[in-house]
Parts: sequence; C-alpha cells; structure tokens
Amino acid sequence: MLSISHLTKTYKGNKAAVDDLSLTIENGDIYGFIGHNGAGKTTTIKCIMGILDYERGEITLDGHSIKKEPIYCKSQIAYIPDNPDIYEHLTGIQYLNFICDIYQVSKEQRDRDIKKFADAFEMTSHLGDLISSYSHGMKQKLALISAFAHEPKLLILDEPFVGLDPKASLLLKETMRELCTKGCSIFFSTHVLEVAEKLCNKIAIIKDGALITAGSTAELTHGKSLEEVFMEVVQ
Amino acid sequence: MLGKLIKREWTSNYKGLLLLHAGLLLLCTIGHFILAPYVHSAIANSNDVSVSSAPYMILMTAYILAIIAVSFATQLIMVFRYYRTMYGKEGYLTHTLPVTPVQILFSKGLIFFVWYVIDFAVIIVSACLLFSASPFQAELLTYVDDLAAHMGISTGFLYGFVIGYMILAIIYAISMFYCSVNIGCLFHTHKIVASIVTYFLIYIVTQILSTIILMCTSYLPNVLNASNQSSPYPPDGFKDIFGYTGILSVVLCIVFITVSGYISSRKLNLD
Repeated sequence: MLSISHLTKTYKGNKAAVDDLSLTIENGDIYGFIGHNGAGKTTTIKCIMGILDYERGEITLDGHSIKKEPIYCKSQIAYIPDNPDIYEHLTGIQYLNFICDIYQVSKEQRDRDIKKFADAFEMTSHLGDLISSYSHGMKQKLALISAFAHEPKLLILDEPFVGLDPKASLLLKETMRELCTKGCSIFFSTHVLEVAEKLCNKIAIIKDGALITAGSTAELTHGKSLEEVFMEVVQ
Repeated sequence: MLGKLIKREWTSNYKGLLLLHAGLLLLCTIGHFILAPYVHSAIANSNDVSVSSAPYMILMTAYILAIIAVSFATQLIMVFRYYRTMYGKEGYLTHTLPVTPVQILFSKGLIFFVWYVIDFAVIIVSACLLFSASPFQAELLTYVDDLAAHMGISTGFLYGFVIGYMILAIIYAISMFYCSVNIGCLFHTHKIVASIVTYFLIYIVTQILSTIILMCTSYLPNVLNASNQSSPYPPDGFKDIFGYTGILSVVLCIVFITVSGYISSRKLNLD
C-alpha cells in the first residue's frame, strides 16, 4: 500500500538524514519504526506526509505518488506528530467538525465516531473548551479522535504514546488493532520497544538515516526480545 | 471545502480584530462629541477651525496614532497568522489537509483582504465621525468634484477608479506579504528575520521598478514643473501613470502569487 523507495533526504551542509531508505507497508500492517534520537524517523515520516522536500526516491500510496498526487494521498492518510499543535482558537468539537468537513465525513458517521472515541478517551466533557486550554495529552487525544473519525487508509503516528495516560495508551493500542482488522495500515515511530514488540506485526530499525533491518516481528526477534535485537543491530 | 477553510480562517482572529476596530470607532465617536461643540463655535465665529488649539491637536494626534496602530496591528496579526499556520507550529496541519495550495492561499488571502477592507471602512467611518461637524468634509467633496471635472471624467467614475485601485493595492500588499514569508521560510534558521529582510528587498526592487517607469513616462518632468506652480490638481500624465503602475502591480501580483504557490507546493520544508 505505502511504498518508500530509495528515499534520501539531506539537510543543507549535513550528511544524509535519511539515506536510501526503502520500505513497504501492506494493508493491515501495524508497522513499528524504531531508532535512536536523531536516527531519521521523524524526517522519514515528514517526507511521507509531503511536508519535507527530499532529493531522491519515490513515495507512493496505492501507486499514487505523494509528490505528483498529493491531494489523493493526503485524503487517505491521517498524521499525528509527536507534539500536535492544533488550531488553538477552535474548541475541540469545532476542530473535529472542521476535520470531518474537510475529509467529507457524513453527519451520521461523524456523530457516531466522535461520540464513540470522545467517550473512550474521556474527552466528551472537554470538547466545548478551547483547544488553547488543553494539556499536551488532551491535544494528542483530540488529534487521535480526529484521525479515527475520518477512517484513513493509513495512519502515521510519530511517538504516539508519549504524553498519553496509561488508560489512553491502552485504548490507542486496542483501536490500532481494531483499525487494522478493517484493512487500515499503521506506521508509527516509537522508543517504547515493549509496545512495538507486542503491537506490531512488522518492525523497521533505522540508524543514522539508514535502514538497518526490516521485516516481520517474529522473524526479527527469533525468540529474543526486541530490546536485545535492537541493541545488537544498532551497536 | 474552500468554504470551510475560509470559515476557519475567519474564526481564527475575528474576535480580537473586531475588538480592535470597534475600539477605533469608539475613540472617534468620543472624539466627535468632544470636537463638535468646539468646531461649531469656531465656524460661528470665523468659519475657520483653529488647528493650533490643544483639544484639537490632542484629538488629531490620538486619531492618527490610533489609525496607524490599528492598521499595523491588523497587518501584523494577519501576516503572523499566515506564518504560524503555514510554516510555524500549525504548518504540519495545514499542509497535510487534502486541499490544494491554491485553496489554502485563497482562503487566507481572502480573509486578509476582508480585514484590509474593514480597516479602510472603519478609517473612513472614523474620519466621517470626526469631521462631520467640520467644513473640511464639504470642502473635500467639492474638491473631488472639481478634480473629476479637471480630469474630464465623472465623479462617479473617479470614485470607481479609486476603489478599483485600492482593491488592486490591497491584493498587491497581501501577495507581497505572503511571497516574502514563503521565500523567508526557505531558510533553515531565522525564518522570521529572513521573511522581513525579503519583504524589504522586494519593496526596494519594486520601488526601483516604479521609478524607472516614472522616468520613462512624461509624468516625472511634469511633477517637477508642477512643483513651481500653485495648481491644486495633479499634473498632466496623472492618469497614464496610474495605468502603468496598475499594470506593474498586476504583473507583480501574478509573480508573487505564483512564487508563493510554487514554494508551498513544491519546496515545502517544515523541518
């Protein structure tokens, strides 16, 4: 579904932040993307989302190039960065309705899904408040609700568990699994290796911009813990 | 889709800006009541408003400063908002929505345009409030009639021309602001400083271009000659120069908008 082919991104005057990276994310995958700080995870994700220009390589979603057909690709993807800054002048519900309007979600579906996920994330009573009054975790929950509400084909999350309380983390994991059974794919970066090991069916490890290894979680670990495998391959 | 973007743009700042403009109107309403008795007295005595009196001077100074402050604040708020939602913290959200760069630029530009128009409208209403008791207002209207007659056009056409030119000037100003921010944000660091420097560089270049056009036409010599005369009307070539600078403004608007569209769609770097 999502194909990254020979992606190379260099910041001016520095060495490649992402160097000849190739990955394929199939329908229904929960793909973990792990690496040290500064390994190139966020840069890769920003290139996929089309908010960072890259020199070489090709990124396609269902065969549609992210550069040549950005509107199609963006309409199929939901992206939540590690620090989601949402339009602060809006209330939570105004923001959700705005996103649903842009993604052309029907009234029935939005009412149903917003209620479902807002209740689950314990955000219902806060939806009338201005986003500027939200904590980091609440903004993240709101961003997640907005992403789930328009049923994307691909969900891209950058460090999604940072700042979430344990209950919300558990709910997010359950929702991720539920979405993938419906055919949605999820690609997320994380430092929490235990979560990646339990949640992901595929994992990629990146170091200094280069892909060290990628494949199914079972093949990568071979009975070892992901932490052990990670330490072996990055050292 | 576009309507939703426009609505969101409008809701982003309207409360603060409406308050700002309401404040200006209030100041001028108060000024009107303070000024009116004084002006009536001056008209009754000599039909001449003494501009050297303290209340008049204070009021005029406050009025001019308020206009400058409100206009400047409006522009600053709108340009900063553009930066924040395109290249700042909220940039990722704007650029990952399934909408075209043209739709984004148009929605932002339209709301900026509306605020510019509101700015002008409030300033005109404020001026009317402030000078409604003064003979200056009647004199100005008479002058406009005379000017139209001098130019060989109807007063209505002159008003239409001025309004059309103001619309062009607003579009030009907005597109230049946006182009400066887009170019400035191509830099990896100090993006705001780079945007400001870009704005002044573009300003200097466009002023040089305008001067070259002035020199290539007959208008500049006419202005120099006219400075020795006491005619209250603009010198000959006045209409031509508006034509030339109008064409230049349209061309530059197209360049600014094209550059902005290109950068936000092809050279985006939200690092």
